[in-house]
Amino acid sequence: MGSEGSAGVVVVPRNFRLLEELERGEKGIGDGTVSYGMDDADDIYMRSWTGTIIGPPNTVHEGRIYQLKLFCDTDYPDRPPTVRFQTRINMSCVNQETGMVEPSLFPMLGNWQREHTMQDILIGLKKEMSAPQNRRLHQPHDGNEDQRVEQKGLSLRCVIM
Amino acid sequence: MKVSIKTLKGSSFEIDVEPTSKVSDVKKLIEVTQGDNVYPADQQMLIHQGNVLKNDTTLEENKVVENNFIVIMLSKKGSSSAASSTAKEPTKQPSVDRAIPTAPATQPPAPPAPVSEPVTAPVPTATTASAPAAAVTAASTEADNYGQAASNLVAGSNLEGTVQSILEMGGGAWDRDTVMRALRAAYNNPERAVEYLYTGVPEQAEAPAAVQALPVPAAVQALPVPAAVQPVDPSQAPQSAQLSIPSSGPNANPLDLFPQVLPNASANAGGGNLDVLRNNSQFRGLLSLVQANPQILQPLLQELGKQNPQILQLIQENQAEFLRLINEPAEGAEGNLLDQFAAGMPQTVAVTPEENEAIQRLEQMGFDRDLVLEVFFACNKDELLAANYLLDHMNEFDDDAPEPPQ
Repeated sequence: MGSEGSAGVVVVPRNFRLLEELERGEKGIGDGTVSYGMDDADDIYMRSWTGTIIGPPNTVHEGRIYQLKLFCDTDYPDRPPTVRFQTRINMSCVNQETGMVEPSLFPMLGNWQREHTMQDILIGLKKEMSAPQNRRLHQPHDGNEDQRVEQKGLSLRCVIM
Repeated sequence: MKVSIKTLKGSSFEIDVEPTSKVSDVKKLIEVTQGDNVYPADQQMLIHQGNVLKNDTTLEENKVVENNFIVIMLSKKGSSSAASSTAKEPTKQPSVDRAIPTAPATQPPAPPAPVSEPVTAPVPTATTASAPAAAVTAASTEADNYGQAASNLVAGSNLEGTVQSILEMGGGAWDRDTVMRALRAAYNNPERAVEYLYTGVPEQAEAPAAVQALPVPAAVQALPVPAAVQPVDPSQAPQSAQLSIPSSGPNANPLDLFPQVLPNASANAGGGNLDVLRNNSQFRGLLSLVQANPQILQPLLQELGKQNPQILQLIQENQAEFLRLINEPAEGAEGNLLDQFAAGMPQTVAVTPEENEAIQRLEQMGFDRDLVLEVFFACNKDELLAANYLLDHMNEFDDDAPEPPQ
């Protein structure tokens, strides 16, 4: 489904790509500071994912664990997934109200390339936390996430419609 | 099944757990195998595939299977709870309430900022606490004669202010070196220094200096020193008695005072012995001091006994007559008190013994009696004003229109 090809280039279908990312997430390649997995193992479309970023050292984010939601729609990986922070965070590329990562402010989402993976997004966000404009921002305390969950639900409902 | 535990420092180790084990049991197992000081169970946070594992859930519920890896990290806040995000429907996500974990090795830059603010906050409190302490010091100065004497010994930055005050009081009559020498001779006591400036810095004790000890209260009122150091006139009298003991100059004055009285006392043996004291001008000054503050009578008698036992014995033999002698100018003392109360500040009162006493003090400063009388009444019987006027005139400074320094 959804497999298209340009002239002479092999295109990996969406499901195979997501399965490959799922396998990589389970194996734990990397330093362990970013990790991700599927939200619902029963979802055959593999759209909803959860990710975790451990704050990099020497920043205000050190010692904090940021939990994110990544939503890969049916056009992934041709289009970037929507990334939303579930944990409250104060970053220049994150909307303070909704926790959404703004593609216009985060180049990896704004200039999306098909070769990028969800792990690349998480690593990129972690690097963004160490950027000069973000490493010393005052961070809010962890609070209740009910409002954001409802926001996400509403967003999902709109997507379904 | 075997599960790999990865740490943030890049190392990893394996543990053997059951799928039905609880996350809290896994943490205890990690604590046992790795050491309770390396990974204490209450500070561990386990992350599996982007989910923070809750303590009361099982590995099976978190979809941990064989050869999976779990990331472990430490939080400084004990028993921090984290909710798992596993749910059947994305729209039914549970709330994630989590305490902010802190790495044990290093502190983030943000927490030091609140540490700086508490350091800043107590500073105004300390400043505020200093003011009541100063007020308490001022209050205790009023009550304690010894503290009162100590507070008059200026030093450091106060010395410069005192020198300026004395220079202004003299109106140019004294130069700075003279003021500094007088302060040094008076052990940096401004009242004593002003007295020395009026009578000359003593290199040896002189008889007139004894009488000049009396205008110390008046001299204190003229000094623009802090209000705490400037009590009312009655409280100055015990201070004068207190100050006269450690100072060498005034301490020698009583010794010089009574040799004059001694021959008279021995010549007039028998009745009417206290008439000698009555006619002695120095003793009348002491009696005036006693009348101003009766509390110093006992220390005065003790001092008198040390300097001249014969006079003390004479007083003891005629106590009734001595008491009458003390009470004779009662009317003058009462007038003095009334006038002080009305004026709100101590000043010379228009009573004959007081006027005569002031005139004699001005005479013993080295001026002619006629000149003293003229200036005294021209200055409306103000002894201090007359003294300043005489000093200005003596130095031929601004003869045409001499201005008082005040």
